[in-house]
Amino acid sequence: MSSNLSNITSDLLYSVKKKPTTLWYVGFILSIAAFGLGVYFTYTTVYLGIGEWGLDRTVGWGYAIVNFVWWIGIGHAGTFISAILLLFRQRWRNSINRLAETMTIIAILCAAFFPFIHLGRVLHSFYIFPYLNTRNLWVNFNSPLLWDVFAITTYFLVSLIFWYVGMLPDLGLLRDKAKRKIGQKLYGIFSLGWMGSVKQWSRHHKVSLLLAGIATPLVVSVHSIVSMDFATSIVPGWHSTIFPPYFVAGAILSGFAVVLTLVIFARKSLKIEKYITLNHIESMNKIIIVTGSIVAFAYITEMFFGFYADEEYEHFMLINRMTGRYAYAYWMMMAFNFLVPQLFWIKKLRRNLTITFIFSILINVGMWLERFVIVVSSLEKDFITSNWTEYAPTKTDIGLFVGTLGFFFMLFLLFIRFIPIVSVSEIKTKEE
Amino acid sequence: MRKQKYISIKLHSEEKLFETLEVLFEKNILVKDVFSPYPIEKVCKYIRKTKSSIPWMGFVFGMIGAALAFWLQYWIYADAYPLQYGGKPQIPYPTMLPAVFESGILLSAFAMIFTFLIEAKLRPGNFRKVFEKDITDNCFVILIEKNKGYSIDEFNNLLQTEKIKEIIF
Repeated sequence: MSSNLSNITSDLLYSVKKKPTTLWYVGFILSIAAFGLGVYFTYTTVYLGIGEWGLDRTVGWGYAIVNFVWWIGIGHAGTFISAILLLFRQRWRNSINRLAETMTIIAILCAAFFPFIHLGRVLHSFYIFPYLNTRNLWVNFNSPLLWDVFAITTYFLVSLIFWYVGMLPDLGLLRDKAKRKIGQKLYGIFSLGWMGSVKQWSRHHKVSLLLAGIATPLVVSVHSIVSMDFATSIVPGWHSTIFPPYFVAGAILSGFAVVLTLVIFARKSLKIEKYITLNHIESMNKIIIVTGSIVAFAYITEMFFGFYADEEYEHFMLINRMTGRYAYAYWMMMAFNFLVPQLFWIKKLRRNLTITFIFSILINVGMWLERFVIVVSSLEKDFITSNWTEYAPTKTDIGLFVGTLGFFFMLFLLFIRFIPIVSVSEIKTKEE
Repeated sequence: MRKQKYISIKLHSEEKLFETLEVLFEKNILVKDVFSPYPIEKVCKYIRKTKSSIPWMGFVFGMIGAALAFWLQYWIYADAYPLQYGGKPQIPYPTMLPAVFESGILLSAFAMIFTFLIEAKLRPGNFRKVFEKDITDNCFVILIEKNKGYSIDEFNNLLQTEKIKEIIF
């Protein structure tokens, strides 16, 4: 048994102990390049202002809010896998929870960047927090945008705590396995003196369960609040009561799609196929079917509400989405988010890695397009026809989005160099 | 954890761990602690348990967080910057809920994590000497206090007679 445990350790510490592969270097250089592009366009935005973006008279929220909601949605799978699947005692989550939690942390950072830069005067961004001030001015607690500040800050900090607590046993292992002094020192600092005593394990178990308990309503509340940014307005296509559950299901769908993309890449490149098996991929694909079906149901409900309501603006909005300038985005969204997940009912497709990888990317594209359709098609043609515009993103818009993608992959690749992507202690528990 | 105060028994499997614990339990030898590379729930029955304050701290600070957020909003609406607009209620209770909920969760999480760190004796810069490097990897260690009415030789003989081969002092 002792050798079995050692084998698990050496298998899972492979990426940390061995020199990075060429694939890792290629990915890292590409992501740094993309991140650099983002830094440049961040500089131009701060220096010249958000006039550099493609925003116009009616589309005051463009790529920034689309990217914000997309990244926040991706960030949902991490806590869903860590918290909700932990409470439901789904053991298969042990192999993927670390990866999903890491993805969550980085995705929230990417998401938070967009409202931050959208403020224009980023140095004054602390105004969004309620603090005692001599002007006696306070933030507007009636606004869902402020609720977002509370929800996302809480979600980020609770996810960060959850992620870090989950890593403590492995940080202790890394400290004891590190050959170089610097490694021993750094892992020693971050492992906080973890020894694996009974008391530490029992407290660790307790705090993990309790954090999972409080993180579960957070998963639901964060994207519900994000959806209220839209739903509490009077814009046709936004003013809808189905938005909170629709957004939560969509968020979990997109989050799982990204987890699948990363898992398929990681299991192959880090040689951990033994720990992330086809059964894990299949289980995630089943969740894709469930959340994809909820999203599909929401699309149909939205259509029904729009046509059933005797309201010319709602009718116009729906017909404009289906046949207007961005009809391609609407139908691609329908194909990728509605039809593609349904193909996973076929077991062969669910267990096929290439198909799963392609589908996961299609769902990601579909979910981005969903936010684009919601934001742009509803705002572009407002109540006054003389206001109507044609929204088009600028190179700054695209550059900032590419920059966050670069930031995401850069941090992810750095993470897998220093921390095992699969929780070693949890795999050992499962094996025993 | 000074060497002279404890005897440590190193074992290489979970089965051996339980066999040894059972022997020690039968002989009324008090086990100070057990170290393992992964959590083993059943070990708790051989060790004197201490109650955890994590749930209570989480609850109490969760309530404090929620109350603070409620009080802040109430004070802002009623006292610091009262607004009258559109015939809307001056203190809109339903819109206070998100901030109250999120603040409660946040403070509860912080309280639980700090209680956990204190109870598990974890802190940055805690470089306690790891007496057996493999305890986080592949071995199990039982820690017994010395000078509890038996000598090391007696203790060694006791465990040897129980045919537990993998004992390392």
